[in-house]
Formats: sequence, C-alpha cells, structure tokens
Amino acid sequence: MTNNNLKYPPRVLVTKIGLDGHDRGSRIVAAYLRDAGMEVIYTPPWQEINAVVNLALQEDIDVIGLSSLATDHLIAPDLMIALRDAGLDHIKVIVGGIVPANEHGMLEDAGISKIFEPGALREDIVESVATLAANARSSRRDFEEASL
Amino acid sequence: MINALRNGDIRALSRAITLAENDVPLSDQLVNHKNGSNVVGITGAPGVGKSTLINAYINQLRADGKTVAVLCVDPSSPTSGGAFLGDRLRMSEHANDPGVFIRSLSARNHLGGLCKNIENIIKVIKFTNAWDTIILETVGAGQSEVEVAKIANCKIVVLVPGYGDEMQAMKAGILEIADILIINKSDMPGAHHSAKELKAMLRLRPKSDWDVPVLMSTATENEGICELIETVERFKVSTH
Ligand SMILES: Nc1nc2c(ncn2[C@@H]2O[C@H](COP(=O)(O)OP(=O)(O)OP(=O)(O)O)[C@@H](O)[C@H]2O)c(=O)[nH]1
Ligand SMILES: [Mg+2]
Repeated sequence: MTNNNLKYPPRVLVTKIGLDGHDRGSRIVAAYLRDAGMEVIYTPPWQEINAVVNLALQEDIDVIGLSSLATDHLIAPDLMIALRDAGLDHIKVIVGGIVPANEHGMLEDAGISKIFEPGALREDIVESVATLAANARSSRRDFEEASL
Repeated sequence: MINALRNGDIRALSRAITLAENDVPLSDQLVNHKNGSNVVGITGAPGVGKSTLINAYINQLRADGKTVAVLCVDPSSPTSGGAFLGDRLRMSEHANDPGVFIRSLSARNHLGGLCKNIENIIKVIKFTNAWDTIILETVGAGQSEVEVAKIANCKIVVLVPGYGDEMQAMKAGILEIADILIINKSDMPGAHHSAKELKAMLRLRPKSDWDVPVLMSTATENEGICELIETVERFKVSTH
C-alpha cells in the first residue's frame, strides 16, 4: 500500500504572511473548507515564513491557502523557496484575494498552484483544494510506503 | 521511515503520525519500544485555558532544557466531519523552537475527548526517543474526557473560578479521573473560594496514597506553572 491509497480529509493551512491585517476573506474560506469536511488550521495574519513552514511540517499539511488583499502575495515566492528547502515541495499553495493581472505570471512561475480572485465561488474553491490535496499526496516522493 | 523516525527526522515523525492516525497498523518494533516519556493529559471544559496553560507549561519545560511534544485534539463537525484545529495558535511563540513539536488532531467524531488512534500516535512519538514530555490536550467537551485516564500517566483537570458548568462535569466523573486539579484564570474573582470549596469536597473522599492537590494558575501570565510541573514530578515519583 502507498500513501496515496490512504483516504482521509485534506489537511489545509489558511494563513496570511506579510503586513496586511484584513482577515475576513481568509476566515470565510477557512469556514468553507471546514464545512466541506476538511481539517483546517487557520492562523491570524502577519505570520513569519519560517513559522508557516514549521507549522506545515509538523501538521503534515497538504495545501496552504494564502490570503492577500494588498501586497502580501509578493512574498509568496519566498514561501515557496522555504517550503522546498524544508523538503516540503509536495505541498500545494494557492493564493486568494486581490492579485493584479500582471503579477499572476510571477506567482505561477514561483509554483503557486492557483489564484482565486474576489468573488470566486465556494464550490470552485472547495473542489480545487480537494484536488490539490490529492495531488500533493500523490506527488510526494518521501516515505511513499504506508507502513510503520 | 523507521530509520528516519529513529534519527529524529521531523518530516518522518509528522508523516508517521498521519499514517497512525489513519489506521495504518504499527510494526512490532514500534509496539514493543520502551521509552519513559511522561505522558501528561490536560482536560477540562471548553475555554478554561487548556491550550494557554500548555503554552505556559512548554515555556517552563524549555527553560529547564526539556523537549516536549504536544498533541491537541479538537472536535469535528458531526455533519461535515471537518474541523478547525485551533489549539496550537495559543502556542505559536514556540513555532520555531526545534525542541517543541505540536500536532493538531481532529476527534473525527470519536467520543471520549481524544481521537481513535491516539495510543498508536503516542507510540510513534515515543519511538523517536526525542521528547521528554508528551502533553495531550483533550477536546473541551466537559463530560466525556475520561478516555484520557487510560492513556496519560498524569491527568490534569483544569477548572476556572466559579466552575459552575464544571459541576455538571463532576457528576460525569471528570473529577474522578484527576490526579491534579488546577484552577486557571486565578486572576479572576473567586479563585481562592473555588479552591477552598474543591478541597473541602475532596476531603470527603476516602484517603489514598495520593491526595489530589488543588493548584491555581494564571496561564496568561505564566503564573503557577512551576508548582504545577513540580506536582506532576511528585506524582510521577509517587506512582513508581
Ligand atoms: N484572564 C485569564 N484568561 C485566560 C487565562 N488562561 C487562558 N485565558 C483565556 O481564555 C481563553 C481560552 O483559552 P484557551 O487556552 O484557548 O482555552 P481552551 O481550554 O484550550 O479552549 P478549547 O480548546 O476551545 O476548549 C483565551 O482568551 C485565553 O486568553 C488566565 O489565566 N486568565
Ligand atoms: Mg484549546
């Protein structure tokens, strides 16, 4: 048996890095995901990148949702590098909020899986996170064997 | 996996906990491993300050040079099965300390205040030999945490001044399982009165080798924690 055969709810971290403190959006998304049966850790804003990586490591997170209403997404690439350095490159990262069109390419290049604009539909967010969680698990190359 | 676990690889530990949580059986190696980590269970009604108390407890253990792993169990929604795992946010000052490992678990509708495979998860943590103390935070359900009694070496029941709601819990036996009672939020009015009442109630019990102490704490100020840790140590010695 491999890890991919294990069926359990997606483990999702909903967080905010950077300086902006508006967290209404991330609260709503966290509640959507919880109500869709996921196991969700929601943090207040202003998280340090290191703290996010350590949390994702200890909690065996599948998907990180970053909320950005101002310029927080500009440091998303730093998070991607930090995740890779910690051996957590299987974790999928999405960004939700206000991201100017000309910055989408930069985020995609950095490895962000998906960007959700304001007004994104609940069903779309939930489905996307569920799919990404499954991808995160199947793309994992460490500890593939599910035995202890 | 086994070697990585033994070498203290946190990614392996985290992964192994997920596997154990999701019904993967343990090999004999893990099952038979002997390790003396002290397993401390913290239980009490919702909002009494369990997580905050654990945060203060971690502060003190780290000051004493001890490593600590924390398992926090949160309730799941009976309808969707989903869960908010929020306890660790009260412990975020330890986010970057390699001597602290915190893992949140959903109860997944398991009754009893913990999650189904908690014993195997503890065995996985013990197998690493890396954690001096293992702290369990139960779901704050108030009435159904008796399961922790089977699993923890030392059970701490947290109350707050007035503890009106907890009187209900007492009937359900939450006080019966306590090795240590602690009145948290002692900065609030009535703490001394509550402590006195509790002590009087405990005196009605038959004498035993361990008289359940009633302590007081203000977790938000790190107050009362040294005494709590000393008492946990004393309890450990007394049960040996
Ligand atoms: N005044 C005062 N407030 C406290 C103290 N300890 C905790 N609190 C506050 O009580 C609230 C609940 O604290 P938590 O630590 O989350 O309580 P909990 O028992 O873990 O809650 P659940 O896990 O939801 O059952 C928070 O707002 C804390 O800041 C204390 O000693 N004094
Ligand atoms: Mg708590």
